[in-house]
Amino acid sequence: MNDDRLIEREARLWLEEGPTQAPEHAVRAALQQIETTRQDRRWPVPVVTPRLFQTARAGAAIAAVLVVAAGGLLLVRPSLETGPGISPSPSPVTSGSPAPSATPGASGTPEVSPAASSASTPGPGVLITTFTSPMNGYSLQYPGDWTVTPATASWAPQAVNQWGSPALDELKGSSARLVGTSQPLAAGQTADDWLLAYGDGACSGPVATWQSVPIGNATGLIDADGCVASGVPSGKGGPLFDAVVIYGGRAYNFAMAGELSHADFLAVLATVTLDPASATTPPAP
Amino acid sequence: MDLALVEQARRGDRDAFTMLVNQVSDSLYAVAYRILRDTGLAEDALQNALVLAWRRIPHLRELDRFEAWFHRILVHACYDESRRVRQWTANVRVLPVDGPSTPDASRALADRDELERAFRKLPMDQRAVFVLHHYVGLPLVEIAETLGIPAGTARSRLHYATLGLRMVLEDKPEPIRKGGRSA
Repeated sequence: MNDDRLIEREARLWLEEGPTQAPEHAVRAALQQIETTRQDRRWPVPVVTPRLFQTARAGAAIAAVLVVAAGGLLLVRPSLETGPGISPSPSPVTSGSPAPSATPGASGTPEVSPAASSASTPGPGVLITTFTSPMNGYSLQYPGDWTVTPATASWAPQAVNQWGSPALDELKGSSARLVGTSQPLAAGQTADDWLLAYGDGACSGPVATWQSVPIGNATGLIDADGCVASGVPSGKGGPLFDAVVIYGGRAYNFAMAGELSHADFLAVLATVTLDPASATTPPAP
Repeated sequence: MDLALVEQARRGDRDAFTMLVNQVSDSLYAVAYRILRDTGLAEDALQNALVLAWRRIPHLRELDRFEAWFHRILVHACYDESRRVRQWTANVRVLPVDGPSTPDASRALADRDELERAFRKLPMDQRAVFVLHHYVGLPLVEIAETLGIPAGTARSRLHYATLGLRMVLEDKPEPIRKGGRSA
C-alpha cells in the first residue's frame, strides 16, 4: 500500500467495520443526566470590559486596511460586469435622502445613478441611502431600491433571532437582505460573557477565532463569514455573514445573506454609525 | 432532521431533545468509536456530547445545521476523552489476531491490523478530519465549518493523516504467510 488512493480506499473499507449502534446503556445514562441538567441560558453580568477588544486591536488595523482595499475594489469594478456587489456611498449622504439621480461625473458626463445601476444588475447595488433605526440605536447605508422594515419589538435577552423576527430591522433587495438589531447588556454583564452567550453557531469557530472588523466607531467581530445559508427562508439563501459589536453598553448584531461576498459585507459594516443613546431600550443601569 | 424538534429542544423541551438523541446517537457513536478506536471511550464521549449539547442548544442559531453542530461537540468530546486517558493509552498495542486459514483473508486481516496500528499513531485532530471525510463523507469545506477551523487546516490535517498512515504502512514488514515465507 504505497499509493494515497489505495490507502484511502483501504481505510474507507476499514472504517466501515466496527459498531454502528450506540449502546443503549450509554444513551440512557446520558438522558438520565440530562433530566437533572439545566440548559445553559446564563445571561451574565458585571461591568463591560474592553479586554477582548484590546486584544483584537492589532487585528482591527489589518481589517481596516482590508476594508479600504475591498471598498476601493468595489468602487472601481463595473457593476454590469461583476454582477452583485455593494460599494460604499461615494459621498456623504444625508439621512433619509431620496433615491439618487444622475449627477455629473469627473469627466463632465452624467454618471449612472445608483438606482439605475441596481435596477440593471441582480446584486445589492450601491450604498446610497441612509437607514436610521428607530429603535436600535444605529444607522447605516444601503442600496436605494431596497425595502425597509424597521423592527417593531426589542431583542430580548436570550432570544435567538430568526429571519423575519420583529426584533430585526430588515432591509431587503432582490438578491440579498440585511438585518440589524441591538440589545442592552444585562446589568453587570461583560462583553466576553455576552459574546460567549451569543456564540455557538455551527459555522462559527470559538469566539477567540472570530475576525475583528471595524463597525462604525468601534471594533466588532465577524462570527459567520460566508456560511451556507441554505435554510434561510424567502429565497435569500447563499452565503451568510454575521457580525457583532458591543458599544456604549449595547450589543449590536448585523447579518447579511444572499448574493454577496465578504467584501460586500465589510462595505456595509463600514457605513454603520453606532448611536446607543438613541436606542429606545435604555442600557441596563 | 426535524427542525421543529430542534427548535423545541432549543426552548427547553426535554422530550423533543430525547427524540433528537434517538435519531442521532447511533451515528454519533459510530463516529466517536472510529476516532477513538475504543468502545469505552466512545461511550464516554457520546454521553458527554449529548449532555453538553443539551446544555448548549439554546445558543444554536442555525437550526438547519444541527447535525454539524452536534458533530463539532462530539469531536471535541473525543478530544477531551483522549486527553483524559492519554497517559495510560500511549503505549497501547494491538494484539495479534488469530490467523485465518486462507492467504487472502490473512492478508486482509494483516492490513486491517496495520491500519489500526497506523491510525492509532495519528493525532486526534487528524483522526477526526480523516473520519469525517472518509467515513461520514463530508467535504473538506464542510468539515472546516463543522470543526470551526480554516479550510486549509482541514485539508492539511487530512493530508498529514494520509501521509502518516502511508509512512507506517510502508514501513511494515510484509505479512508472513503460512509456511513462514514472506509474501
